[in-house]
Amino acid sequence: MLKGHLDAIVLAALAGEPAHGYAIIEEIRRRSGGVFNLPEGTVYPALHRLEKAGAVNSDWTTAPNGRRRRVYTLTPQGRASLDHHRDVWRDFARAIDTMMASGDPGAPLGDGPPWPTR
Amino acid sequence: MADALEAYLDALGEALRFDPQLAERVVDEVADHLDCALAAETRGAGSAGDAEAALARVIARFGAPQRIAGQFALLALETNADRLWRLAALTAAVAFAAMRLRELHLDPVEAAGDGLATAALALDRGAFIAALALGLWGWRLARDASRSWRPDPRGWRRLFAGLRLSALALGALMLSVAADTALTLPRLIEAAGGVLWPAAALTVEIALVLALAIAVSRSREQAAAVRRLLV
Repeated sequence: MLKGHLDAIVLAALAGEPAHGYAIIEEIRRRSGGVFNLPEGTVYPALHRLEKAGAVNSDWTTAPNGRRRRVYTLTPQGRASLDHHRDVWRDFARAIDTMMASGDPGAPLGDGPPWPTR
Repeated sequence: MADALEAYLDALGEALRFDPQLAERVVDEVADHLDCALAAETRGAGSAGDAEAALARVIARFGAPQRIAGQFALLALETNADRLWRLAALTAAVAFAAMRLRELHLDPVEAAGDGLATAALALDRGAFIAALALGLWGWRLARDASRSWRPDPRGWRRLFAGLRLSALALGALMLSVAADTALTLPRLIEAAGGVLWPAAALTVEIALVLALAIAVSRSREQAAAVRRLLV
């Protein structure tokens, strides 16, 4: 399931500030409270795919240890794509919550979901 | 310890050899990543043995180089396939225009009563139609596969079949262009005037078919890498 949302997760991790691959993975781990413990290598093809799609761009810098470091930045197109992913995810999560609550014998029936509906 | 790291990076570079420029970039990125991960992992580690175990954990968390290279190969194939289909459509359009311009501006082949020329004309048209049919079939298969092309055996089969058909379509198109060249060149030499358009179309047609051959060859190389690394 996580694999299908990898692009959105990477974009969300980059929303705050530009970052290199390792920092992006750490940010994903930190913000998910350790739940999203991705196979780290999978993030790089996702970053390249997002760059080809114009959602991020990247530049070489030099790391403190002297190694070449590729730093990724979210583009306006990437920000729009992230907003779209967020909307889709909210609708999906709302629908799942409704499904789960309606199957729960302990849940109050007929009161509607505990969030404002459109 | 540095040897294990270098060996890992070498294996990754080797698996990415289908694109040397990409290989250099990815290896540099991954080297930086593994350095950062190792520094975090060995913070407070006491002995060399601890550091070696930390490196093994870092590498295991990163994943097998072949698997990662396979994902890059898939991405490269996807990008190149898009270009390839656009280039193929343009080449077919120019080849068709070249045939029409030859008929409009140069002496009709049928009028010469030359058996060889008539056969070349039939080959030109037949091969062009075959190229269109094979190319469209291949494009449809690959397009369907691209909708579900994260490892799914049926999707892989369709993708590779689509690429094989595109190679066959290219062969047919090359045959058509060769026949067109054989028909057009002697008439261009003999014609007194009005040769500009047929000559230009023929030149563009040949250049495009060569570019298409390079694109098909790259796609086949990338498909072979995907097959070797992922399937």
